[in-house]
Amino acid sequence: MIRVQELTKCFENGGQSVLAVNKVSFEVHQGEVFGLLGPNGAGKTTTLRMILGLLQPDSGFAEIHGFRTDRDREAVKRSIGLVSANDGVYPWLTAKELLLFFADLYGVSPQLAHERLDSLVENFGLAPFLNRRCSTLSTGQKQRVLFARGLIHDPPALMLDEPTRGLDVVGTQRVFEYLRFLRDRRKVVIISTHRLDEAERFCDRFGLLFDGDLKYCGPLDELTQLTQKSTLVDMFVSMMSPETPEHETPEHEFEPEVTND
Amino acid sequence: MTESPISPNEPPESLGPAEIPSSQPSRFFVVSRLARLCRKELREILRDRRTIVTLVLMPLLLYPVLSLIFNKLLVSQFNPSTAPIDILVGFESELQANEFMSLVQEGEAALSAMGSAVDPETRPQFKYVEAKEAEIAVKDGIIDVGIFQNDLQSDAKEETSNPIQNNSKWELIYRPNSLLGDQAASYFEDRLNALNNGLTLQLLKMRGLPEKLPATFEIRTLDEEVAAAVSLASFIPLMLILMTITGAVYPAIDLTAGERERGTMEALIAAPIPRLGLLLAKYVAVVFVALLTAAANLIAMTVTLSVTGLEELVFGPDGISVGVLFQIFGLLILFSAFFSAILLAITSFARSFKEAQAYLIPLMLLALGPGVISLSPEIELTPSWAVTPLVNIVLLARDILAQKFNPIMSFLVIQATILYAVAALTVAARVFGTDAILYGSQKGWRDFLKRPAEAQKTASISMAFFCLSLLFLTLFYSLGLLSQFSDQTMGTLALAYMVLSIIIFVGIPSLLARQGHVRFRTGFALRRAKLPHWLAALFLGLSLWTLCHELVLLSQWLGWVSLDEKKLSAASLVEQWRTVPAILVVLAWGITPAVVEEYFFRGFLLRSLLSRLNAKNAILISAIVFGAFHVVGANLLTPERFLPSTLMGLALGILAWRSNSTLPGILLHAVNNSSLLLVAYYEDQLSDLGIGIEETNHLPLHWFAIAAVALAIGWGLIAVVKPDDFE
Repeated sequence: MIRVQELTKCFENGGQSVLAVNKVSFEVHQGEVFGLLGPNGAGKTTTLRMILGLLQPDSGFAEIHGFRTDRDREAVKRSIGLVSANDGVYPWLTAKELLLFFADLYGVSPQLAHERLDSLVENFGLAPFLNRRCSTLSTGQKQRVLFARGLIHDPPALMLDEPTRGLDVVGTQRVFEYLRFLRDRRKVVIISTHRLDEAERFCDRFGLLFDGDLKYCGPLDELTQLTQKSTLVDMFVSMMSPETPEHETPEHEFEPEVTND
Repeated sequence: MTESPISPNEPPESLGPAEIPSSQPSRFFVVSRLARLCRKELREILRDRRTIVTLVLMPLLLYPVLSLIFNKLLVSQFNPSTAPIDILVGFESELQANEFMSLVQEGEAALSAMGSAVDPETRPQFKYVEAKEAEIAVKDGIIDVGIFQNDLQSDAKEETSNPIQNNSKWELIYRPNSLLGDQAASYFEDRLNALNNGLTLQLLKMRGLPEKLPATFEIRTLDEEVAAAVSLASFIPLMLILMTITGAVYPAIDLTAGERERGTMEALIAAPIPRLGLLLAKYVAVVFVALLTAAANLIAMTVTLSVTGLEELVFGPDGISVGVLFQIFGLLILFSAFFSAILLAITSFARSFKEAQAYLIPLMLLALGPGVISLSPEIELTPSWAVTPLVNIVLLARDILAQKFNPIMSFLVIQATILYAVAALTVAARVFGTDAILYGSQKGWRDFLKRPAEAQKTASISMAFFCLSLLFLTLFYSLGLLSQFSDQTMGTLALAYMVLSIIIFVGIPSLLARQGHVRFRTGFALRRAKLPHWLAALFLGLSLWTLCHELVLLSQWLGWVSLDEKKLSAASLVEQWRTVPAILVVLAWGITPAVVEEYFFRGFLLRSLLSRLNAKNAILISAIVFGAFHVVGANLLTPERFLPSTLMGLALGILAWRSNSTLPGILLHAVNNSSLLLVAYYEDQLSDLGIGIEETNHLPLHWFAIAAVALAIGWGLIAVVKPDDFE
């Protein structure tokens, strides 16, 4: 399980302090796909980076599988797999070398790494290009290598940062299959995206971020009931509407899901 | 569809439901993993064509091209007899050519008669061509020398009855900057002079006049081969070093800024491996490629020089030996280790290839400056130059090539260079993969200097070694500055020395500890110790100096002696001490160093090492560092201090570890220093009592017996008494 507790992060921009993430709290359970949604600049990626330990939060923490980001950074990192749209590959390494390298980084013994590699090759159909250098792979092949990379250390949790960005229909479909694959294996998954239509298809629950605040958190039917909007897109439009007075923002209409200690 | 979808196969066992992550890996696994990380970095960088170009093609092309340039421009000037080169000589007509050459041949015969004949095999080779407008042809560079006959003026013609006067003269013209023209002109001049002189002598003889000339003289220039060897030998290390830099630049950029540009950095930093580990693997890869480049350049250079016959000109008549080649390569290892660390420290700041290149251009220009300075033959490898980065290595390499290898100065160069490399790596480790670099946060450089929010128990090893590098440099130059004021009274010097010691050994670590949010109580082990540890310190302090004294004698016997002409003899130093009260001497050179050195060496450094390494390794490393530190003084190297200081470092380290405190060590150190000082200070009085010692003599046996008892008691107390748990 992943528990995020009041994560907060400020950045400095042009000498001014900008609140990127403001006391964001939520939980994600085993076998669940949680969509962290919001427009560009809402704070989705910053939240994920704080959970991963790549960014130091100004306050708050996240707990992954019982390990806290502020106390057990290495254990937290070992518990998470990362797949990001920004990810690149090492052009001069083969797909196999790349996967074994990441297994090594995550402390997987060479023997176990080879066993895991075999199963990932089978599950993601990597065999035809396993021994080819990454610079020669197509976009789809690279995507599959990166999916496998996120699982080479068999983490209980996965973070997917904008995984469908820049992908065509086939690539997006492959992300859906990957998520089904992870759900079947009872992984805890957090996916950040601004593609609300897609998120509706593959997420079990949602957290709607806007300007660093978590405005809503819950399953779609609950959100529909609370906001009186039928789709995530409508919810966002309503949330971002400048006409909505502050005291009428949905945040005040219901409490976001927050777990107490 | 060519891209197969993800297989809906049943999950295999290894990819089953979420598991608790594996526990901490073993030490063996960590080491072997580091080796595998290095292998990955090397694999990646060595498969890159750009690396291969720098590594193989550059040296293969560079040295032959350079040797051609040397041959064309320099060899003919330095040593005209080494290789025949066609020199183009133009005449207005064939008739003139034949006439002139017959004169030259006669001159050659005259030279032979005088015993100055030239070996025909090494004689310059001339190619004669017809050039109607000789002057224009020379000007345009078509020919090297133009030779034509000018009629003499009418007044000269009146004396044609003179048997030695011809009615025309030969004129030789060449461009002022033409080495070949100059060589040809000299060649012809020598022969024509020989012909004329031969005739003059013959006429003098015929007329019964004395053949002895009124002013016999000889103009001799310096041995050109030797002069060339000096300047070219200086050029070689600079060349090799610049090429080694070239080899290291691309890997350093690719493995740091390149990671970010490719989008692989985030995944790398998200992995549960310390950034230092990642950086070390990259460092090893950069050093390895730099060394491969160095080796390729060294081999290419040696082969080229050997094949083109330039070896003798560059390295002297004996050429270059295999031993010297190995020494140069050893130096290049050191240089690669140093410069790779500098490169990584700089490229770690860069967020892209372009940014990294922009940062490195000033560095390359900076590197050229000291490199060129070191070409100057009057600059010698003094202690000051030995601690100046880059210059020190070029000068040492030059000295090795000139077979003037100095082991003590080499030690100083190695020590300083390693410290700089460690400092640079520390900076790189601090910067590499930080969120400021990774995500381009505007805080950037400020983040680099940001004080950690949480208090740290001890300094990190990187911070401790960074501090050591800073201390080393500051101390070296401060002592050098202090030595400029040797005309001051001993009291003033003692005071200045105390203030300097406190500022350097206490000020610098304290500032860094504050910046790193290190708790002083734990980071410097400033805590109370048990009474037995204080007693142990006292007993060891009273006895260890006897062993130190013997180790100094052993070092001298081994030939490890101070290397400086200006050094004061121990006797004159003691005489100067005696101009001030003993208490001031003890305070300045006994107690103050004890306090400040323990604060840094057993406090800041050892505590940092103990937090990451096992006690044995931590104490050993700190002791060796302590020993090496004492070898370097102001304009003075005292290698005989290495063994005793290392022994002291070991004893002090063990005491600090067992007592979990730096304080008893201060007592041991102070008593040890003061004992030695007082024995020297009151030597005369001790001699009067019949227990005097001299610098070069062993201590009396009964002194050893007493010291052995004190040592045994001290060690017994340390071994038996257990310390409290350290916080």
